[in-house]
Amino acid sequence: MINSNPLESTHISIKNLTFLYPGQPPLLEGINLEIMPGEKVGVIGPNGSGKTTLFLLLAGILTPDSGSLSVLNSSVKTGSFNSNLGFVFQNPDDQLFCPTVRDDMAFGLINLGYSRGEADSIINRYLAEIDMLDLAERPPHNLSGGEKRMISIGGVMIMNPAVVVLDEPESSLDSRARRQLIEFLIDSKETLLVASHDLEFLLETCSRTVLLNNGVICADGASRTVMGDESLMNSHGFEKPHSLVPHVEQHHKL
Amino acid sequence: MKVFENWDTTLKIPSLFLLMMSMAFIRDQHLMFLLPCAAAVLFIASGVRLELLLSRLRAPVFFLLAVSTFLILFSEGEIFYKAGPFALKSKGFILAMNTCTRVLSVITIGIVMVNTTPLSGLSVKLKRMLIPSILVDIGIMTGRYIMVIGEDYRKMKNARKLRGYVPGGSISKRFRVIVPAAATLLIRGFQQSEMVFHAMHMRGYGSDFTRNKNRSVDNGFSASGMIMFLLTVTLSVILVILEITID
Repeated sequence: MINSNPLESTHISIKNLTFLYPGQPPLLEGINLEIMPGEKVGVIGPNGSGKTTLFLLLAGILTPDSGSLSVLNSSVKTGSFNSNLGFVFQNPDDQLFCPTVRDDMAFGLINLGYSRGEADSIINRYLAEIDMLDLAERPPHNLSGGEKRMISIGGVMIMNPAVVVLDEPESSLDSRARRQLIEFLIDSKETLLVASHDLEFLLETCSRTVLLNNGVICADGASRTVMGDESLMNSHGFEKPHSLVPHVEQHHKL
Repeated sequence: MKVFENWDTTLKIPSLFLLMMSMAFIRDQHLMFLLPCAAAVLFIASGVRLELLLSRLRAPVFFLLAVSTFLILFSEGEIFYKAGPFALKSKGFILAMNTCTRVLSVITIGIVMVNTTPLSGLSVKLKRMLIPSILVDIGIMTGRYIMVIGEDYRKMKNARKLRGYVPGGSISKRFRVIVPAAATLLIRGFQQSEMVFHAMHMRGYGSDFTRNKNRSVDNGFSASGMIMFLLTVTLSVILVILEITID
């Protein structure tokens, strides 16, 4: 486990968290996790290991059966809006519902009390940064998968949350869009918690990785250390990422 | 156009709604020409794209064609054209023209209203108009819910075709296909609309959060918005007065 500096306040703190769906065994049991400001943490685990559930608990969409969660030292209350936490859903279609990209991105800012003019200038700046200014007046459902993803992330990022939770952000992206997303996440200053099955993606974006399986945290440490441990990865149904395999013999076809 | 953007929602929605009601109230055919004129002026001033209007009018036009055909063929009155078993009646023709004019004008105003009112902040404004919050939430979610169902239905239809399903056949065969599909669509639609609602909530929807607690909520109405409000209300009142006095 990574030891945190006790003098520095955490951005995310999860203590003895247990959650179960009715009539089923606990999906998460005794989870403890502390994430420091600016940390980029990847969460890996097989399907059904509770990654999305953990994120929904952090967002206050689900209520824990026991334990506590706090974001920036304020405890998470189910159903209440927390402006410090941004959530990017697995499926961008769950997030994009306004008639135009501009309206959709303005949605959160207007709810935060920004005027339409202020919101427009922030949106223009973001869209120019990711080279998508020409999409501003397009309906979101007509965009490509990569564009939808960047717009749904942007709609959350421009609200300036201290912590951003991304649930499989790289899914269904082509290699160009994936690269754009990797660079965007590397440059971001927010504390990130990213769930993904793409280990190479996490190696590039997150310095720390948490391995979740059977309701408990099985490993927590530097991404290269956790993912580089072949026996650990194999025992949880993963393969060691190819980039971490020592290339003693040249086996790539040139 | 800027004037429509600056027209505050709390003034725009009631005034355009009043105009639609007064248009629906008109029966006198001498006044009928005013309705498309008013609708056209508002449509041009709104800056809404013509293609958008035409695409939205497609379904109502088919409905109006069916109603008009029925009225022209089956209403009472003088026959002005006869072709075989079909006799076209003048009274029915006038009735059909009036109905089409009225309905198309009202729908055009509705399209202008919907397409010039941004969704962002709409819920807050509607709630400020004392509309119960549950109705506002349901109304806003319904739009998304219908889109989800429509999209899923299209995909499901294609998937059926690709697996060799041939539409048609006996009622019981159609029933066996349609009922489970409808149930699946409803469940999927509900699940996704629930996720959409969570996503909206995570971006501050329904919360009274403002980044600056001292920032006053903008209750002021712009001058241009106020003028538009007064013009629309005046037009609505004039239409109703003319209808009553001409009678």
